[in-house]
Amino acid sequence: MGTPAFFLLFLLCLASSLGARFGLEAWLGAVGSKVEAAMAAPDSVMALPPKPEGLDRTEPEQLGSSSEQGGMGALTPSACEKRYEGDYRDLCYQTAARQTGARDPVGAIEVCKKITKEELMFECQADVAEASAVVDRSFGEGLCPTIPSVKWRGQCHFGMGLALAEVDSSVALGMCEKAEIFRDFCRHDVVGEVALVDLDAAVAFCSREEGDTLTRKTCWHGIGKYIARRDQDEAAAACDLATASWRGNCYHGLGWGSAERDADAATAGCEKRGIYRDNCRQGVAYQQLRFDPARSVALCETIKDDTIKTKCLGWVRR
Amino acid sequence: MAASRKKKLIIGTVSLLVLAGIGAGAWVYLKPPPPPPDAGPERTYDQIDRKEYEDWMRSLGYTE
Repeated sequence: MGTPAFFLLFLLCLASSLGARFGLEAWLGAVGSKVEAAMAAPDSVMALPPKPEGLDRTEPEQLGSSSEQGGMGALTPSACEKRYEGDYRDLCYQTAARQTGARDPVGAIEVCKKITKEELMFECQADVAEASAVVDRSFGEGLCPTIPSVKWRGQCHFGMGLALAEVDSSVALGMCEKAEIFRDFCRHDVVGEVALVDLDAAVAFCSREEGDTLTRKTCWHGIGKYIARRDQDEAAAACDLATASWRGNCYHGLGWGSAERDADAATAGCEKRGIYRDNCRQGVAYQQLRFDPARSVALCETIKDDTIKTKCLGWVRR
Repeated sequence: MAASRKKKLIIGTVSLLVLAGIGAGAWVYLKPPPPPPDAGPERTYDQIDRKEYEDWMRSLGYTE
């Protein structure tokens, strides 16, 4: 009798412990996740898209330039300190550093160091590297690798790549290899910039067909998009030089790039693109998605190729 | 007397086992999912899933 009683008592204690342990953990986990959800703003995994051209380029006038700052719109660190506080002061330092980055990168980095928010300080450093790249790329080459944040280290190389695209395309594309999560974005944009001034070089680079499918096809997309911003017919001629497998992607870029200027004209132009008409329309549809989702759906509906149409509708309706 | 005691012990133990089972079930059901590995923009190029990367590129006009 003694042995079964002891065994049952043992089971009782074990069950109590397990019940208490799992129950408490479940309760704490549920409460904890609710608290975390309430406190934390939703943060996309991809929090930082590549910085589009022209974005976040706060002009000195917007920050209140005046005669006391030199009368020419130039900002100085002392003016920032005097006139602004908190985030505005940080932004002022960033702008001041950007203004002087090309002619005095060392001094500009010192200004960046005054920024209290770490993220903004890294961005400031990346800006200075980009600004100074055309004048002296060795400065940025030394600076970018020292930025501790993977994201901003990548952005720093991306910015330098873009700045050097028209100066030395091979160096610019080399920068893209260090652009971390922005690598394929960088290749796309640098190749696009190169295509505007030296199409043969851009085509030669994409024709090397480096990397996986995504890397290879986006290379051609860049050529189509950048040239189409200037002229859709010219972009079509360039896309016809693309590797046959990725020609459709180039025409998608063509549709997107021309839609940035004029979506109606872009759509009309797609009618001249023969078998790539649908890729072109798909590009226009995707570009319009941010501004006019209903129009994107309508454009996808006009696509004749069933595969492209399904993909198009799936994307714009997601 | 001994039989009654034994019965009570069995009932108590079974009850607690049921409780433990409920607790374990609740834990499995309510446990928050683990964060994705290396989530966030601090990932390196090689740490990003290519499908996720392609969708990101597509949303920004970098691919079809």
